[in-house]
Amino acid sequence: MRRLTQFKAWWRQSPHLRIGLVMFTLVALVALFAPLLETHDPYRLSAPSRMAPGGEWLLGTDALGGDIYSMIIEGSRTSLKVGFIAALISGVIGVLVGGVSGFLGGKTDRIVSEIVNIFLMLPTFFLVLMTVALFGSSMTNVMIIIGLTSWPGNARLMRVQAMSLKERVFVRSAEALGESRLSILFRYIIPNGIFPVITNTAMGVAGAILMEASLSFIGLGDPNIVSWGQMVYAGKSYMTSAWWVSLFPGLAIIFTVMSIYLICDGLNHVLNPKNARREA
Amino acid sequence: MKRYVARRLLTGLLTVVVVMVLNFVIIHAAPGDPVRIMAGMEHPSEAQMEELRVRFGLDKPLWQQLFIYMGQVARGDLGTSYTYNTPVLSLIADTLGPSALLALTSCVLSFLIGTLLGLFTARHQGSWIDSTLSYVSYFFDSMPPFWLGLVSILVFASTLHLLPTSGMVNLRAQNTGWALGVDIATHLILPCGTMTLIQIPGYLRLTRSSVSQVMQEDYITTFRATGMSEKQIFRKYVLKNAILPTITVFGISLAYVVTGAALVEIVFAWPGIGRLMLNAINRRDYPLLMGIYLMLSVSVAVVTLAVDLLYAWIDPRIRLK
Repeated sequence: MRRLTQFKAWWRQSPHLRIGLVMFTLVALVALFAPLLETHDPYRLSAPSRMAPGGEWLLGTDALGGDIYSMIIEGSRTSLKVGFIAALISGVIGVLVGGVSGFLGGKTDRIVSEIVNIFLMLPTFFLVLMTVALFGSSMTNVMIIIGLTSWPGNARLMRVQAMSLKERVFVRSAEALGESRLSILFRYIIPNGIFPVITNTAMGVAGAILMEASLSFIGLGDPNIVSWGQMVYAGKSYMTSAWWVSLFPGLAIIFTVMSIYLICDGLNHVLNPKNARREA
Repeated sequence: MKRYVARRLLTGLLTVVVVMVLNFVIIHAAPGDPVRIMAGMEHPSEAQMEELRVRFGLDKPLWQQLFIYMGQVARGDLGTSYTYNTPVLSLIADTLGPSALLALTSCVLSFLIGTLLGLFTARHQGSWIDSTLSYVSYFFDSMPPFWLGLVSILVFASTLHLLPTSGMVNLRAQNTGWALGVDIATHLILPCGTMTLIQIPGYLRLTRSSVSQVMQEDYITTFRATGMSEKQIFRKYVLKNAILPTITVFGISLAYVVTGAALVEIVFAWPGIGRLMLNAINRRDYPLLMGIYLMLSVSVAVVTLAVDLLYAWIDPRIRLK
């Protein structure tokens, strides 16, 4: 109940959060009910090639005779799946590495944060690109590789949280009561320090969606799956004669990514103690 | 200061080493025979395979191979691209000029436009212009750069016929001197405009939030209490303090100057490193791909280091921390 009132207060406080949540819910519902919304099988190429939007094919068809509208509906599943799984992998690794490093401190911390610094300097996109090119561009590979390369930012956030939390009285008392370090880390440090990581991970969902689109655009997408990035890629040669092939899936990417950005911005706004005080 | 410089140098050096190790590990962990991967074909000729085995010491233990590879890279030998039959290093060097031209221009433009827009919205917080610009900035922030590039080609090149669709020069015209400059500039407008539009939102939001943060500081309230005009406070005190984070981000963006535009280069067939990379992927030219990744990482490490040192020199708070 208290959570609900809290949420209502946030809802009132930030228009960005409101709009973002409405947009994102829409995308999530589309992904959930995709089979009901599709007018044609997104994997069957039965329509005439490059039909203009309108008529039987709402948003037209692509060069191979796929229905753009149904493919965009289906693509929402792909994007959300890539986004969430990649962000989850990066969130879990980031929280564990950052939490352990900040909580233990000392030599471990110095070595780990140096590694994090180095990884933050690497151009991630090119690392992902090269790995996908060599290991094969299956969906699973893409998700795992994006997740494995994007954790350092989360680790840095969690580390700072852990460093400040371990000095707090409630953690000190748990230590004095003889609780094990592992249990302190998982029961006090991580649950209390995870919020900035969650916002960052949400941004990571958007980042992973954009990265999958970019990979698809250079021909490194999973050929067995319908994805928005691959649709843009497929239409790029027909931009002048069949603009709808690339245009609509691009708009779908923007809509989804923008909803996530707005939610994150709204969350940062309502969670910022400065703004909260002004409201009260 | 000396200790700070030494520490930053060490991190930069370690980054380059890590990149080399990553390159090495990826090639060896990838499914398939490293010889075939490096040759870029299923059935390389016996002579090719023999050459690669000797070159990378593939009959020796793995750790020795790693050192052989690192030694070659340290001597500036990034191997040979089999598809171009040219040393990788010279292929990359040829693309750096066009890439830097596109990326630097858009970096500077987006920094200037974004910061100015950010200052403007910060002065007019809560107005309809402010909230409209805020949503527009999120819209462009969410946009895949390559998609914006395609749409701008559709609008300005194929429909309105105002600008060339792709490339850096008009090959048929054979321009020289002044005409060549104008030719390159017209070809630059679309790719550079795309990159600029994508990068503006970051500066806009950063400047806006940084200005409103400074405005809440106690010393600004004090100036207000003394009756100083709002304009003077803004010009003399808010601006100088609020602009610092923006300059920091500009510095960071300089580090990624060559990597950031790769996909847009591909859309506009700009003869930069992005297009070289695409060719390397399409033709399975792994020595070239690894070389590009290595060079990009080195350039990021070097520029980050330079920017960091410059800041430390400007701002004593950093080097003394």
